[in-house]
Amino acid sequence: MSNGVSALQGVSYDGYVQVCEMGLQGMLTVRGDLSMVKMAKAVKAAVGVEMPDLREIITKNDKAAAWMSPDELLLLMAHDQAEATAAKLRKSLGKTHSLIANVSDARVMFCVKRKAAREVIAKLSPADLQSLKSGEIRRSRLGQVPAAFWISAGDEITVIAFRSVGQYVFDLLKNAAKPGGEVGVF
Amino acid sequence: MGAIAGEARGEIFQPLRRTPMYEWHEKQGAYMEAAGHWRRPYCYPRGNETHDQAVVREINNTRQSLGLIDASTLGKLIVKGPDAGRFLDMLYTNMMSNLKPGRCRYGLMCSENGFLMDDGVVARIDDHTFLCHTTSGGADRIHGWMEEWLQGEWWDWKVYVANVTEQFAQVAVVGPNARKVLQALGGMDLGREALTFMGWADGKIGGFDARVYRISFSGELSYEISVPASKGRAFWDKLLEAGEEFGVMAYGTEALHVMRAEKGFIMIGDETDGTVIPQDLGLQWAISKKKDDFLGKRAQQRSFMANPDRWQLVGLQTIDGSVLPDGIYALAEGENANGQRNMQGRVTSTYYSPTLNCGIAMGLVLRGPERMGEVIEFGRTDGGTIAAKIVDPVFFDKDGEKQNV
Repeated sequence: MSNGVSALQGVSYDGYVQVCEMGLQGMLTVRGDLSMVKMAKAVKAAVGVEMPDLREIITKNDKAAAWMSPDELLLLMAHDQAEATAAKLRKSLGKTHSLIANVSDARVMFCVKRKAAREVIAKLSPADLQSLKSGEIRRSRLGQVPAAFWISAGDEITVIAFRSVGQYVFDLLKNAAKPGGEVGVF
Repeated sequence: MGAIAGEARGEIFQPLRRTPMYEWHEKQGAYMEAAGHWRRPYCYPRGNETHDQAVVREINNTRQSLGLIDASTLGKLIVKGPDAGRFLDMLYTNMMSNLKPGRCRYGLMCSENGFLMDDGVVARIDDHTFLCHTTSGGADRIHGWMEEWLQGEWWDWKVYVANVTEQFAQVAVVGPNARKVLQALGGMDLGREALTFMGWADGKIGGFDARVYRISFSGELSYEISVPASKGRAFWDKLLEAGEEFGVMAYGTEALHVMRAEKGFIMIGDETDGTVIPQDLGLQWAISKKKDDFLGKRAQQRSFMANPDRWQLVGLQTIDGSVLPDGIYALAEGENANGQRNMQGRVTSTYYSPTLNCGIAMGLVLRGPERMGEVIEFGRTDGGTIAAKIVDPVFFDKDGEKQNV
């Protein structure tokens, strides 16, 4: 059987920041009561991190848990681990009212690197990139489509969006990263 | 300048949504049409073919042998929780809570004012989980609609919803050879009894993890197969390869529309326009009489909604075999207060049917279902008229024998 492919198969662009599509990424949507001890334990067992607080993303190795809304989390793991992690979560949550969905293939993920990464995102999103702290995730928009992003390393921002608009988001980022378009406010 | 004018110009003027098979469609030279922000192939013209010729070829090939359509754009919403059945009973006009795991049911959704807003097939996954298919353009809107009711009105009901539309690539494998091509790929048992009409099953096909729904919008033997989006293109290629011996062809949305019209199936946005209720479309069978309430129920009981003079769905066949113009109105005697000609109906869908080799149409007509066989006149914009006979909207295979093989 063939291997799966991501939306844009690792395409990249070198402008005044670098933009690259990051290939397949395992992702689960978790909906449930985030204040329950049982939920925190299940998340910890699944991805090895504590329950994230409001707008927080907690990363450990290649796994992460991100706050999406008062009753929704996004969990990240290797693509081939998504189904197994979902099964584990369902088992540990048992009869607790919750919904676990594998959304790995519903998404596209980009990396925006270099000093002006914040500026390029700020051109496309209404979120305040000046005050965006490390460990904070913003569920916002880029141009006309929903997107979430966080600072994944010093000068590096990770962006996720829906798979079907992968090309649009890449084109947006490319346009915003064009040499000559530097604003210099960050 | 960018800060003032924004970035929305040229290729990023508007987000285009692409399915995992989009590149293949483009490479075939498919003529694309918009479905919301999605771009879907309308037809795949070959050589010097006109669009009409391509559509006819695609339909004939599907009815006679094997067709594939990229159905990935269909909305897919997971609805889960101990109150999921009760919740869907409120949202759909028909009963969903008594659907058995492993089975599918076609459902209608109405607004509080009783008007049709969406339709689709609901599959029951397990006791607490349903997967609701929506129209292609409707996924986000219906997802929002569900959240609105859950967060605002029924906040204490235990239901969660997740939109997994883009997680899956979905392919409808359609035609008398549909089962054969899937058997050639090998894997799960898709025999007549193993997976009956309106059933679904999880398994493997040609090595791909697949969920197979045995549902049909064309009236043919048909399997809608969903695989993870990352493998959608590979699965599509594999189906084309295995389908070669049956002369497989991809078909577009126009062939889909014609085939559903031949079967008398309605389309949200064609037969409905925000002023149409299920009763207008002869869909009483999909409105539960057992339920105390559902969204739209009370509105549909109001006097003008229950009025037998509301225009109702019928099939229309021109006397000369021509295709009725879309949206054309049926003339009635006399004039209204403004001196305009009175009308007694209008066309909602109209096509050339290659299966019947004549024009077929659906329309809403005053007391239409009581007037079978009657010939009425439609008024052309040039002042002339076209005569059409009122007929059953199901033009083809009334007993559904083709899909039941």
